[in-house]
Amino acid sequence: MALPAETMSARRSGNARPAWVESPSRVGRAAKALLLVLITLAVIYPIVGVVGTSLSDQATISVNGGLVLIPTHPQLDAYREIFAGGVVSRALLVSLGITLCGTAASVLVTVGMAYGLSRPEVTGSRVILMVALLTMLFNPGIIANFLTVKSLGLYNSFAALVLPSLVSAFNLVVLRSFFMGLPGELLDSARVDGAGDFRILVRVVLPLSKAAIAVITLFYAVSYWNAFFNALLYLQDSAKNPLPMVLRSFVIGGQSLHEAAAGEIPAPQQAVQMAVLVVALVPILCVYPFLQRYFTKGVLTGAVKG
Amino acid sequence: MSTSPVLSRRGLLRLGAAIGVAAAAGPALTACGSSTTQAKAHGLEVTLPTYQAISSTLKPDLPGTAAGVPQGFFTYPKQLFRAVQKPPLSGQTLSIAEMSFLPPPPAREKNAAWRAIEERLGGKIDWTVVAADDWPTKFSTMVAGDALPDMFVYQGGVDNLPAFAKAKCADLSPYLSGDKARDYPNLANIPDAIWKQCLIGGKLYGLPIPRSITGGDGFYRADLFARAGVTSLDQIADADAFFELMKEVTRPKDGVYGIMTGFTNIAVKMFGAPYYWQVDHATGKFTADVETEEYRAAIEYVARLNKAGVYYPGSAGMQKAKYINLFQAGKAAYVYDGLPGYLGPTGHLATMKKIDPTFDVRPFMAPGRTAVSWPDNVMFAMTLIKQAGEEKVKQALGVANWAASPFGSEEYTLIAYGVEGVDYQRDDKDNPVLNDTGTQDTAVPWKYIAAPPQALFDSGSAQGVRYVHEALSKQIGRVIEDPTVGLYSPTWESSNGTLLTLRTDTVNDILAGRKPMSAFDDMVKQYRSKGADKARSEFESAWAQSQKGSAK
Amino acid sequence: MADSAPALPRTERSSDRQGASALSRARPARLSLRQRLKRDRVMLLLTLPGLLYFLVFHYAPLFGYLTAFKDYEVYLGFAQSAWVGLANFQAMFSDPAFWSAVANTLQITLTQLVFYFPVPIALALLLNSLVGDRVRRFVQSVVYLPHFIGWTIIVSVFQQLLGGTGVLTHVLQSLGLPGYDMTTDPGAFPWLLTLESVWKDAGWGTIIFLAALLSIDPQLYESAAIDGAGRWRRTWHVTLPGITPIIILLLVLNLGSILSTGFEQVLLQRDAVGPDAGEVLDTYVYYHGIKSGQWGPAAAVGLVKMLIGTALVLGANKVAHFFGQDGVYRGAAR
Repeated sequence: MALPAETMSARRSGNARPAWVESPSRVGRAAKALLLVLITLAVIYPIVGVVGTSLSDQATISVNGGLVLIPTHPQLDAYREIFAGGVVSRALLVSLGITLCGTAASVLVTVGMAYGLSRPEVTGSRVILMVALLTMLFNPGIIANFLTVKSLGLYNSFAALVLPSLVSAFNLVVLRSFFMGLPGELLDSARVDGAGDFRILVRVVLPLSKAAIAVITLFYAVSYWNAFFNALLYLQDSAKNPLPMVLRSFVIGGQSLHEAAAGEIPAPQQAVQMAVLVVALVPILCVYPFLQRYFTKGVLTGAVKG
Repeated sequence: MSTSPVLSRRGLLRLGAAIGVAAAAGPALTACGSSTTQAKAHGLEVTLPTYQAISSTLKPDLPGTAAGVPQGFFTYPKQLFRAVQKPPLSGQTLSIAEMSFLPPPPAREKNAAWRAIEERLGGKIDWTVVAADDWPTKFSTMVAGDALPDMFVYQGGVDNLPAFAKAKCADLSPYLSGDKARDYPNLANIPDAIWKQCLIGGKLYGLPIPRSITGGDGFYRADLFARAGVTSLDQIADADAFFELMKEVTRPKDGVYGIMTGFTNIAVKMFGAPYYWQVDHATGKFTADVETEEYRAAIEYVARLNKAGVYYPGSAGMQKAKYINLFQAGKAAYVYDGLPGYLGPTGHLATMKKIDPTFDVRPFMAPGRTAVSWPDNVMFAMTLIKQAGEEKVKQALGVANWAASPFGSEEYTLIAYGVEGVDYQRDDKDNPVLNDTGTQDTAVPWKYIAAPPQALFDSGSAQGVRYVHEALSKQIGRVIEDPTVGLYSPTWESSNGTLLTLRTDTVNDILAGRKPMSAFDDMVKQYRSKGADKARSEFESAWAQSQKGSAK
Repeated sequence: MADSAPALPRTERSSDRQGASALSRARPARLSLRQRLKRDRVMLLLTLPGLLYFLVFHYAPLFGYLTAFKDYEVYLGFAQSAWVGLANFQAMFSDPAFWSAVANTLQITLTQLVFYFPVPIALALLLNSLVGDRVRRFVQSVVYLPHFIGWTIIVSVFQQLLGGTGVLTHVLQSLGLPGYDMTTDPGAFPWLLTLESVWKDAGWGTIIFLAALLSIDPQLYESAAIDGAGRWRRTWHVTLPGITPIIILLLVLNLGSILSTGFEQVLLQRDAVGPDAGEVLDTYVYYHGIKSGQWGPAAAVGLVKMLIGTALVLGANKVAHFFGQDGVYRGAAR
């Protein structure tokens, strides 16, 4: 609880509480605590189950009906199976590269566009916004998408994992809405000081929008990290596959097979299924706290006062 | 007339086979329908590859039969023979797209088996391997974008297969027809009944991945049956006796139920209903399975079973992995899964032995005098070759011939077990046993390019091999005819997916007690009007033509 | 990049911070198009890459909708497949199963709109009201986790809890009551889906609202407190209005997808309740088209969905303007 006691964001740090916040009633506090405990338990129980199952052998899993909370004989076989052969490690690198480059490119383009569209009086901005917005409702089918990507010469290239999903219209409108909510006085005073539009973006808008940008960064990063569909459609060389595509093959159930041939495939081992989830989850767990900082700290306060 | 079967219960492999459409140009076959959509029947246009069994010194422990019962082996052959003398490639690269059911294998540089196989092939294979569940999506885009590789597996996904094959695939008749197949002895080792499934629009396009005629009747727990006094399936006289048995083995207190799931089709077979269609040989009239009394009676029967509480609660809505796990954990006396799921290190037999040594799981055989079997797993799928020059097609056929090397050959062993010492060791009975490296290295889908006729073998259990052999012998012995093999109905091809959904949904609703039996009769009416009647007339005229053709 | 300041400073922005009506804005004097382009060039240049992206990757593929009017054969391509006019639409509209799927879809999406949509907001407010930083961070980083668990596993967990041999049934039976299998009860299907969605995504959904809550000026709380407003009144008069724009935005966007449900989530559980309750538009299209290689019906449904979605978004946006909110985009009213 040793956070610097900034004037206003102090209410978020530790026990320091702004003078105008009254201490909560005992009943209110108890109710809130109970609610939080329930929510946390409801979330944690299956997560623990996932980790526990990933560490168990099939016999234990079967006896427990599919979800093992505490493995009786913990073992790493499932993880060993996933990482053996080096395919997953290579896919991990591909995914890291795609996620880093993709997120950087997406955030850059989205910030530019959201800012460019954040002032309704800019010529054509309303039309352009409509153009972007409508795409949320489009779904012309995978074949048309595939043909477009192929005709651009992107088939079987890493760029095909990024470019077709470069900007999310959702993230765009969300960010734009945040930009529009910024206090106009700040922008105006910057303008009076002679700052141009680009300078205002870099010097005023971006520093004030850290939380919103952290949000869309997270959204983009997670979607690149989890994306398998672009890889499925646009890659030919299986060696280029990113992590989700490779992990998928550990958990397929052979649903597409007809009944008589069904026995061809053993049902995926549950331990492996769960271990796959853990493998995909760990990097997100590692990154989240860094971004979370921006959701827990008021950024606006100081700026308005200063 | 042949009794060789179509492959798939769900119609995934909608084959327009021997007697196909003549003017099968795509645009003419529109959804609006017109006279051009009539299936035009032709006699067999092509001579199948001449069957030439490979003579080897292998002595099976259990004999195979001409009808398709595979040979059974209790031990793996010690002396391997070489099935392909000359490498099919000389430095070229072939591209192959394949679905896979296994995690991706280590790359070539780290995969001794892969390298050894390419050395034997004399060239390289560029794989596009896609998880089976994603295959239909990938296949559609590859076709649409003209991005098909040199060879690819076909499991459905094209609406008008004859026209597609004609436009995009290599006609293999000039290479394999009749005695020409001698150039590819391992392909010539595959029987006619299987090759017949590889005909599209009257021509030979496909390379088969053979299976053992029928997918079987699922699995049961002999120990639970025995506890209820049934020590042999022959003691179950009829459906009623089975009903009583299921009630007997169901013990909700212990969490044990009679049936896990998947019994509907078994009941339908038990009552003797046909496989999709049956034909009256005298009149040439076709009847759909759902129109028969037997089918209706079977549905009534399973609804009664469910009402009696012998089904595992909620199992109808479960994913396969979930209910298979429950079965393996001992929660039910019966489950449906295809016969190929029984043997091998990950099969039900080995897995359940590990969970509880008292679990005695065996292949089920539908009891009763009326029981029949269906020809629902004659082959797994077929591989098509993209249109190309003669040289390229011959290379592709050479690779397929290599992949079809029979059980006990060096090539088969490389595909199934990899390199000795690296991927597998011989155990005390001289049987090959995969190690961890081998399990990964052998995940390259070589065996799905083409395959030899099946052989039964399990290094872990000779008894298991006996059980499967016994089940297949019995079931292949009573397998019924699929009259649509070799007949092509455009309507059936385009509407059977919808029709199957319709009937499955209705049957499930009745089974679960959500709808009364009258819903079944309504379904049959809809089934007919939504395509079955039209398909029937197309089949009937194709049948009539084929009878004329074969009479010549 | 220094911008020669335009003649008119854009002061109108300052007056409508929380989305005041467009009418109150000062109307800039007319400039010629060239002058305006010159004034806005930086803004437009920043917009350009994104605009190009949308045109190339979303507008160029629109020819895919032609499939709706064709008997589309994959290997023949769009040009050569035969036209069938409105046959794909007619086949659909005359099929009772289609309308049943529409009804189910609406029932499910509306249930989710009413009972799922507010949950992340409430959860965000709850988290925001936490004073202890450590607790807050911990809860926050736990609740978003389920978002990453695939539907297969979630469905399986729910079967274990609410299924025929599930925890709920065991509890009921031990109390001497009959068991209850929620996973196979057609009537409970929309509720089951909503419950699952809440569990999977409510935590993840809070992120956006938490960010919005941070952008509320604390001075507003302060002055409200000085005016004597208690905890609840501050929430009502400061917090909620602060995040209203983003709530409205999400609500409008949600309306646009009112005919879409989570495909995988429903597909996995459709058979458990049967098609009368479990068939939605997306699964209907899957079973009546795509699965048997017929793309026409899928494209036809897609087209209908797009038109209805567009109409709803535009309509809802108008309504939002009427109530003085920005909606998705501001300033359409002139």
